[in-house]
Amino acid sequence: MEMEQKIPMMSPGLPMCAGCGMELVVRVLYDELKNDEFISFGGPGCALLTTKVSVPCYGTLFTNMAPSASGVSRELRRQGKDTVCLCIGGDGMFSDIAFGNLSAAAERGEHLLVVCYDNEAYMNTGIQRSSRTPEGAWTNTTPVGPRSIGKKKQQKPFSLLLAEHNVAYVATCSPAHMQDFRKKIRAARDASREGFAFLHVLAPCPTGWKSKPEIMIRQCRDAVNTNYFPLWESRYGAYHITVNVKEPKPVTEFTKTQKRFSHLSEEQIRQLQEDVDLNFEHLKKLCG
Amino acid sequence: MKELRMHGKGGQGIVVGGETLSNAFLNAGKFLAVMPSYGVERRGSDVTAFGRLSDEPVRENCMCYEPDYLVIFDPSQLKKPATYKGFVPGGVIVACGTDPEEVLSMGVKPSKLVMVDGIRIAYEVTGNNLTNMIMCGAFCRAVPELPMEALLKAIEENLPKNFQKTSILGAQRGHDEAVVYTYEIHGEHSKKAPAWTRHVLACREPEKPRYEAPWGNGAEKIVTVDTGTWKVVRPVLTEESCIRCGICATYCPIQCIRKGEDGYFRADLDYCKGCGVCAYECPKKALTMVQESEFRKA
Repeated sequence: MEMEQKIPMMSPGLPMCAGCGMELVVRVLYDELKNDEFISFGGPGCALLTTKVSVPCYGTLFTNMAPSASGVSRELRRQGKDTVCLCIGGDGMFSDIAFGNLSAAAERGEHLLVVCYDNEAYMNTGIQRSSRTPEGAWTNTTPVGPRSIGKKKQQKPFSLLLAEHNVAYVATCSPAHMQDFRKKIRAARDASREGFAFLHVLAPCPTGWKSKPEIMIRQCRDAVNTNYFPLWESRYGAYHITVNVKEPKPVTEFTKTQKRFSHLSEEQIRQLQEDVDLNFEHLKKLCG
Repeated sequence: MKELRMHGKGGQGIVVGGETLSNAFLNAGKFLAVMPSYGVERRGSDVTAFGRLSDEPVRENCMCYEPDYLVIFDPSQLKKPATYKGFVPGGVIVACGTDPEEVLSMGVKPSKLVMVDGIRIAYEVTGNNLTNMIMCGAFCRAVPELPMEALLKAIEENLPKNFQKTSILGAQRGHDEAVVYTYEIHGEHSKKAPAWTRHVLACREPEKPRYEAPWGNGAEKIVTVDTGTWKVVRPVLTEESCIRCGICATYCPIQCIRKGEDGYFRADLDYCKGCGVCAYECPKKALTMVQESEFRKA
């Protein structure tokens, strides 16, 4: 009798660092989509899974991921299929390099499911500053020394910017709130059949954040509990906070576990706290 | 000219270790050119570095296929045949481990074998698996051309100030606690002529991808990395305190924790990288991270 060998959808051994937040994000994503027909798109970065998954995976460049996926998606719709087109990329790709093309795809309302794992710097190339790097954080291009003390500018609120395109679905997720994360993946999958869906997921990088790998989930939880990374969703511009934090903790709860923030002065922490509060106030106004 | 090859894991400081050795040989009046080989540059994956030792400046910078010296920075590399590939009989092996049989059973014939329990010393000195300076110290013990003073001077001059104290302590302990075994080698063993005189390309032609187009049958090209060998610590379950909630399985980044037939959740150690998320998130603290060396002994 011939044994039928079951090929796993994703390789059990992926070459990512121990405690990689992105690996958990990608694995949960694939696990949640396993019963659907889907095509994966990957760009340069740690999450290029072309040779590690058994679903069709298309490798693109940074800038042309959204346009390539749009073309594939349109051809599939023309054939009458509702295949999910899944684009995976980091914060450097979607908030900096490919933001223009991503915004264009959102404006056209392409049937895509775009997932951005946000590790808050260009980690694959060796920890360079991105527009998602928080204020004051150390990176190799915002060093700590006599002439520079970490990044000077605020984070780009790019998930809010995408939600302002009035697309079908935009949500922020944290792997620590796993049920909420899985629910949002399912919602985004359904929304991608009627329009553009975008998930912004916090994914700690122990190598780049200079923290211990075992506290990866704790960092995600602290980011939500300090309102540093509030969890919300938006359907066609109607905002809604999904995880309400009753008593938000001070932002130091999030920064104290990471060596990239170890140099922060009290003034910088006060500034960071102020910006976190302001951003959350702004979000609350949007939620009505 | 003697050739040197270094094997270890990403994150153990192989590159810095090689550079320190190079500076140390400069201090001793010799020349060591060091070339690291970057593959998948991840913490925990295999990293190799090459070096050429000579009395004159070294111009060749291709990979070393037939090393005279072999420095093994991590015990997990001892059982891999690729580590010993091309090793010249009669050469010197400096290995991180305690049992010389572990090296000799791989079919190599060194004239000198230096073993040092680097992982234990590293945990005592720095609190993690950074063995680079310890192995550099042990290398000094193995190679009489390199005095210990030259290595200490190289550490003082070239490493950042905040690492110097532990680096010097580690190098000194590696030098002092190393155990030297010498063996007699019978017969003549000559090296092949160097690669650059044989007109052999150091960089081989890369393999052609199986699929020219980015589209293809994914099922045939799936690549699995042996991530189980990366770990330094492994999760061990205490069944009495486990309440079988499955929180460890939810948050495991590799998603390798599965429910067994008895209802307990256990990690698949073939792929577990030992990150420790499961033990940290366990509400009953039923999981503990235990050093790999404990299991190597048993």
